[in-house]
Amino acid sequence: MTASQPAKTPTSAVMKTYGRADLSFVRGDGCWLITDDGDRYLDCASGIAVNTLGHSHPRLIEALRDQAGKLWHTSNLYRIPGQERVAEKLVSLTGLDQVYFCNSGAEANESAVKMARRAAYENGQPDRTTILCATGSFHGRTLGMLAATDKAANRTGFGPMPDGFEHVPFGNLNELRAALGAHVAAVMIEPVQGEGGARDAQDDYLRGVREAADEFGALVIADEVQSGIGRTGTLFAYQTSGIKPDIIAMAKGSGWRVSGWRGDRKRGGRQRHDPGNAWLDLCRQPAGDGGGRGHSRRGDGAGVS
Amino acid sequence: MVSCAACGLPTRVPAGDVVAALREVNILTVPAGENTVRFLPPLIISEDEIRLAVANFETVLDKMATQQVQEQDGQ
Repeated sequence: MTASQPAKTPTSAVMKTYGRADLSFVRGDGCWLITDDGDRYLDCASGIAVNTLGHSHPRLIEALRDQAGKLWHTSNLYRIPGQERVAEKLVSLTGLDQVYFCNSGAEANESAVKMARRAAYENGQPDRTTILCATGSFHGRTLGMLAATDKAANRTGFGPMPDGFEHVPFGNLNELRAALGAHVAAVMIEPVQGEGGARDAQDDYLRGVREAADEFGALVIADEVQSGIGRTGTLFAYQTSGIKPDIIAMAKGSGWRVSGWRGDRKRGGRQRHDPGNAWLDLCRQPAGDGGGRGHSRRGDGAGVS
Repeated sequence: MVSCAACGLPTRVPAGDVVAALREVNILTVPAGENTVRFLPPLIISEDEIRLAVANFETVLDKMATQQVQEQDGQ
């Protein structure tokens, strides 16, 4: 929910929380969206960087139909073999240790914050709770992410905000280092700020963030919800810098909503994966693998198709 | 961002105006911040479709620039 004023004369049962264009689509075909009048629009929005495989991708449809005819949802009370296969694929593509599946980019970011704080707690540092975020950031609209997101207007009327989030100027290593300390659990950065204006974190800055976080004992969370899954040309935008985040939050283009936990902070001795080309190759294939929602059986088949 | 699959282009006019103008010529884009237009197509977009988007973008910007000049001349 945004902080915008609700419509005085609502025209539908859908709560007015977004500034929607007076336009609706009934069908999609590749990179085109079609209205019920048959007007075709070239989709350079992709549902805000979500539809990496376009609309009505035949492989994705086939996989989803196949799974939907078998089983939709069993919850986390039981193992989900398809989910495990998706996790293995993600680990092999990213070099992460383990994967946590959830339902939105904001949830992925929320879980990344929880992971960072819990890691400090289990390491005997319960006071290491602060998350350093960047000015101009956007991490979602859940209560925790309203505190992490640097936009006061989004918080109007939803306070009090959760404690433990501080902001430092995006791209400024001096200010970051000045803010770091024994109280900081993690630095949370978008390698490319999406909602903030498509602002690129330069590779030198990301390397400086990694170095400073290591020096002060903090983790690095890469919010790749919008910049990830091939959006900027590599599998994840941070990869051009050569750093390895401790936690990656991903969503949108993957069809999955996950936080990838790179639990092992020892970077030496780990065989370096080169996942960058794998996903991009899938996208370049005319009928490549589809990405499904990995958090229920309905998507598992599609996720590993 | 410089790859064509993820372009954020700063504009001198409100991004929302550019996005609306592009929508009028059947190109869907997304604003960001005050003055950035984001092109976020599916990663399967073809070169022809990219050329179409770019051509329409240029047309829209030319039209908006002309209108701006006319409005300034009329002041």
